[in-house]
Amino acid sequence: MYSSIPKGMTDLTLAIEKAVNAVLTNKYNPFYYHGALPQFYLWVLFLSGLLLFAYYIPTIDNAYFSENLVNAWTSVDYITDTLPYGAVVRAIHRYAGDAMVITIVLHALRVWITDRYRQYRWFQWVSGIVLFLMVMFIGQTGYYLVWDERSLILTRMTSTALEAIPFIGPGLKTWFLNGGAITNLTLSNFLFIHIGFSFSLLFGLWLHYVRMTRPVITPPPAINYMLVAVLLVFVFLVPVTSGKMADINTQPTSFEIDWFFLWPYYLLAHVDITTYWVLIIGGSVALCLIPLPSLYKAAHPVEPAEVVLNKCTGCSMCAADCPYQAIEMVPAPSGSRFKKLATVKAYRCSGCGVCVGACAFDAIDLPNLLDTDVTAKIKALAEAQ
Amino acid sequence: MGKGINSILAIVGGVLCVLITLAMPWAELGMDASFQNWPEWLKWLSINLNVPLPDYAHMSNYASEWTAHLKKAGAESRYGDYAYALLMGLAMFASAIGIAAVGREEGEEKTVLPVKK
Repeated sequence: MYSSIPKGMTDLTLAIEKAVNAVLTNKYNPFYYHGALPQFYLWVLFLSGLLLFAYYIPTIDNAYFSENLVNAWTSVDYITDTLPYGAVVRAIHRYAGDAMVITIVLHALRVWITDRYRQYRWFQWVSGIVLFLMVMFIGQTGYYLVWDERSLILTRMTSTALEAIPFIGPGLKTWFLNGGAITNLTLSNFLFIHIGFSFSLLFGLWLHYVRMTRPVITPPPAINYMLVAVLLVFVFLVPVTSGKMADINTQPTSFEIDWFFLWPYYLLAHVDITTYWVLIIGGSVALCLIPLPSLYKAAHPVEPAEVVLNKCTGCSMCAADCPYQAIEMVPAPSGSRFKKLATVKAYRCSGCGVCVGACAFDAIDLPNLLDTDVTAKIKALAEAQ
Repeated sequence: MGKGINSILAIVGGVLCVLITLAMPWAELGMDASFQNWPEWLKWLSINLNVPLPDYAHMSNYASEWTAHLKKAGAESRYGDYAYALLMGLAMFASAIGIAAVGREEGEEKTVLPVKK
């Protein structure tokens, strides 16, 4: 049952890809850059965030007394209404965050649908889930930084939710607020989390890529232009605005929700705190466990490639082409005419068959799909076209 | 698709990009590009070198419509900045179409069977 879902969706996805290829060609098909799209938006976020950071002041000093005071809300107000193109940069930063969430979800869906998340790829899947959770939290801290009434409600809801966690809750609340209550130090902490975690994403991305030989991390310029153009059009269509300045002596109760980042708060407002944490933590763990082999081992067995020892010339083409570093060149046994010999690390092999195509000597095969069969299938497909 | 369509798309994308880019100074000047609002160096170019400048008079309707939309959406000032962003976005759309049309041909997928020795 479970295995039939991705299979059916794989066929649908491949059909859509083929249709897009017919119009855009494979060079400009965004399906082939689905992992690079969120990373492109990450660079946009870094650049626009740098510009905002130059003018942002992380304090709540008397935020409820006067709009003439310098604090987080008034600095954001200055950026939006006075600074040349400040509103545009702020809106680009906001919508790039939303776009990053959308593209991450689409990336994960495609990886799942096309069955590229298990075996050796489990590490990319789990690191991807962790990266997604980090992006969500970083995005939420961005909403706290504006320091309008919504920021105040979100801060209070978060500290209440953290405090409810057994044993470590009070400590987490103190870490989150940078003290026992909301003060100037709280916003400094939010800014640190927002920026510090953002840079730690780069380390997470390195982990995400480290097992891939040639990750596609940059879309072609035409797609980049499209990605930025979408942001700019949204800047005009839906200008980003702030709510009223936060007043910590008041109890605002409702706020406009951004469904990309703030849906956990909608959940928190509608269920009790225990249920909320069970759903959030349980959901995150469940996503990480999706690649567990026991779930679908019988449905999708992956047989690692095998080297035909007496044919291997040690040319290294298969090792160079393998996307998962599953082939290692080792010294050839004594008596061999060649210096090296290819060996397959079975636990890394995804059974993709790239090495079979790379080998000019028929020296590597998939056990359940012989080289001659692959060639026959390709010829049949080529002739059919 | 044929080479002819690619060429047409590339030309259309390029021309649209240039035309939209020419409207960006109008937005940069707060959607009021009457001659006295132009930067001094552009005025100098126009007067001394007789460089023809775009006539933005017919765009005044856009200015009022776009400003009304922005006010309704909650923007409070610097409406020209938003208009500039929109025009830049549209210019980038057009340029993306042009660039993709130029690069499509080399993106055509070709099946090459490996020659086994």
